[in-house]
Amino acid sequence: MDPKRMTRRDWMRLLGASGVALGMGTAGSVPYAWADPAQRKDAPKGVKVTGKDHPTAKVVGGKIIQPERELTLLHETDVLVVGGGPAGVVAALGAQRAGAKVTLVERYGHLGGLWTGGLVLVVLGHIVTGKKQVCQGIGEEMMRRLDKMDHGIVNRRPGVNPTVDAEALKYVMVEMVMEAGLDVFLHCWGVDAIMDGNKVCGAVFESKSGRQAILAKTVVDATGDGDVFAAAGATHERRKYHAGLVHRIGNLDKVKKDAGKADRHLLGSVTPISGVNWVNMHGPDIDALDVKQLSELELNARRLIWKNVEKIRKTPGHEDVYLMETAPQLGVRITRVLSGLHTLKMSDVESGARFPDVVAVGGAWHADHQEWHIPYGALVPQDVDNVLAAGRCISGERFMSDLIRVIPNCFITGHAAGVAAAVAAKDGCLAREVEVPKVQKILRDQEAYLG
Amino acid sequence: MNQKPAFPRWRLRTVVRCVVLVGLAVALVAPLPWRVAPQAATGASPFVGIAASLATGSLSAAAFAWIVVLAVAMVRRRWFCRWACPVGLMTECAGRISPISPSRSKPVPRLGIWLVLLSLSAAAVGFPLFLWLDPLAMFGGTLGLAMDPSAVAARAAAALLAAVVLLSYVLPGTWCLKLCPLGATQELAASPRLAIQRRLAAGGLDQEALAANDELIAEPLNRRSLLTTGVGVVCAVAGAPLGLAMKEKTQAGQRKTLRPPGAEPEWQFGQLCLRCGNCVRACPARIITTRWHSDAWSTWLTPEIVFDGDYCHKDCIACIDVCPSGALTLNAWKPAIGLARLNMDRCLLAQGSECRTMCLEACSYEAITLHEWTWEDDRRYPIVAEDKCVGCGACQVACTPMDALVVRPEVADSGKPVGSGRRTEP
Repeated sequence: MDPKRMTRRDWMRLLGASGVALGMGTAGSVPYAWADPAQRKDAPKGVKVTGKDHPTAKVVGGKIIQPERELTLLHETDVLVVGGGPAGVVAALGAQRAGAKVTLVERYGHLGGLWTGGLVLVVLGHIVTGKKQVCQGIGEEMMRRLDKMDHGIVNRRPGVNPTVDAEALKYVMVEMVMEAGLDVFLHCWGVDAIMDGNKVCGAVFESKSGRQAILAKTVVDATGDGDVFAAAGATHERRKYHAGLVHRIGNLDKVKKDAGKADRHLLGSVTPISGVNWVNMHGPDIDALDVKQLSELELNARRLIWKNVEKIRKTPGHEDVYLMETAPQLGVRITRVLSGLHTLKMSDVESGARFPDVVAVGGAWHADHQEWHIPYGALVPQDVDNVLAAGRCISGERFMSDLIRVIPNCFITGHAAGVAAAVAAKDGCLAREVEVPKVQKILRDQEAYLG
Repeated sequence: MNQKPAFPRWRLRTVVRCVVLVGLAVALVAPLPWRVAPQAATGASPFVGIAASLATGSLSAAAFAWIVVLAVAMVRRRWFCRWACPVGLMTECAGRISPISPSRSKPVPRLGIWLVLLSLSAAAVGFPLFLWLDPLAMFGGTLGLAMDPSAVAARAAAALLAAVVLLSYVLPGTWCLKLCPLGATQELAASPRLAIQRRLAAGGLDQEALAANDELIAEPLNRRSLLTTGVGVVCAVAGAPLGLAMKEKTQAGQRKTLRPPGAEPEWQFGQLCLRCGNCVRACPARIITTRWHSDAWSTWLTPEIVFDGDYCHKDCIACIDVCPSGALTLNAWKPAIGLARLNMDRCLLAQGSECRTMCLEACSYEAITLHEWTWEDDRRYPIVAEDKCVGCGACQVACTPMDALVVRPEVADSGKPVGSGRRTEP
């Protein structure tokens, strides 16, 4: 509209419209102003911060230097469990039941680690020939709780590997941890070990609260990556392994199977929720301790997953399938592996070797071989004291990686490490000097299977 | 010299035969360190030896055994029957306790000689016949029951042996003198010498030599013997075309079952195999087995491989070492069993599931590699190198209980297994 040729009638119209708009705008702005918490009368007062609470890193002579500083002590405890995956949660619960004061620290906002956050939902490797279930104890207790829930666990029958629901299991773990009254710190990333000579006496955490310390009599390293024992200087092996990103897809119950057939490897495996499958990703071989490789993996994996879901949707009859979620945690399989007092060997698995200091009994992936003993020495570092490994980073040769890294093996070794740490804290001895028969008795009392 | 010997000859013979019987049983069943022992124990039969050598064009390591037996038989008529044959001992016992007179078997023609002539003639074209009728094969096969009473071929051999003993009770002497191909072979071996002696005797030069011959002395030349000789000649001539016809008939089929390493092509394997069970007993992995029915009539009761918990170990050729007839041989080609094939629908890895890839670890021939996972092709599955796989079954055993990798008896047009990368050279 050309203003030069605007008639009076047009002017009136324009003026009227503007007035209405102005009135509505003013009326609308009032509730927003009240909804702003900063404007509320009962809103918590802000604190003005000037300066810095710790000396920052500096460039000194071309090098970036972190100045020495004192850390705040967040907490003191008997047993500190770093990592809240299947190994860590079971270790914390086992230690608490063995009578210790326990603190559990987890880097994400949920418990369960790769079992829930990594969407590694299948419980692989808890049964042996003859359909006997050897991985028991607190991990089995979690599955029994899932049994009682709707859509909590599927394929729970003898000789079969069950699959859990991630959210149900996160809930079960939270329930168990809160019932036990554990001190839990989420969103805390263990970054360093605190040493007293050769003895680990706590760990340093980075969180939104900054860098803080937790002191403990015994520490369980359930980080999966062995972050604590590595920081403490324990000898270990660093392995490359394939890593990927798992995802879940939905609406599979709406698939018209007669219309077309999608690639099996794109469709994944069943979960307790009907119409929802979890889809595994093998991924490339990477050093999953290298943040560059991790970032590259995550970026490429997200792209691949989207592409694969589109591929499914292009299959006739599969149009409604959708990407439900990608795993919050990358599926890292193996990184650091402890060089322990004992190294688990495949030849021992094959020969059915028995050890007097057995603290856990591992199973087979498909109930196709016999049970194998995990002696206490596989959890104990050779050269550092008072830290115990639990989960996928316990001491084992390369060929053992696949048997060690699976969920049931993580929760049984976690159980053993937790109870042993509690006994060490209680008896005031070094972790390596723990009376193993005592640990075995408590583990059996807590319904662990030791052969 | 007219004095009656304190230890009569027949008693000495019985003792020697008992000792030989036990010796053969030990050689066949006991875990002796010499693999040539079971091979020679079964391969001592010149019938099998000559037929197998004719058919394969080669001599086995235990050929010395049958050559010795044959050489002695040329001079000492049927010596093996009387001094060594374990089946002969059994049939003789059966005949002795029988109330029926041995003369009742007289009208039975000497079928054994015709069988041997027919078999050797057919063997000349690669298709020996009736090798399983050999008494040593029968005896060895029966011993298989000692190790596995449910072994099918061993039961069959035992049934055959029982039938032979029963026949010797009903008509004493019928088996040994008229039917047994091993006896007939010895008979044939001795015949040139006997003929010469007969000629000499007829000339009145050496009546004594003629009289010194055994009870089994050849009949004088008459119409009956002419007829017998005629049938023999017909057998000797007809065997070759018969063998060729049968070879033609059985050759067409591809190998459908897994055979022990070094097995000859199916058509020949079925005939060369004695069903003696040596390979079944020798296999340290216990993967060689037998069953009643086979795809072709000619291969009934022959050994086959079933990977049930174990596989064919690298550098083990125990079955080839003990085979007396060349049915399994290193000369045939580099011994392969078949070729491992992947069923993608059963492979956990191909489905994207977690897998320990035990197939990769299990393979001793570096024949299995994994399809490399890439962002462009996000699959992982084992790939079998056809030029390296020998079908040893290690991957198949490792893949239990998925059974995604299964060894197939795949053979190329040449009749040889596809896989050829191989272990022990001959």
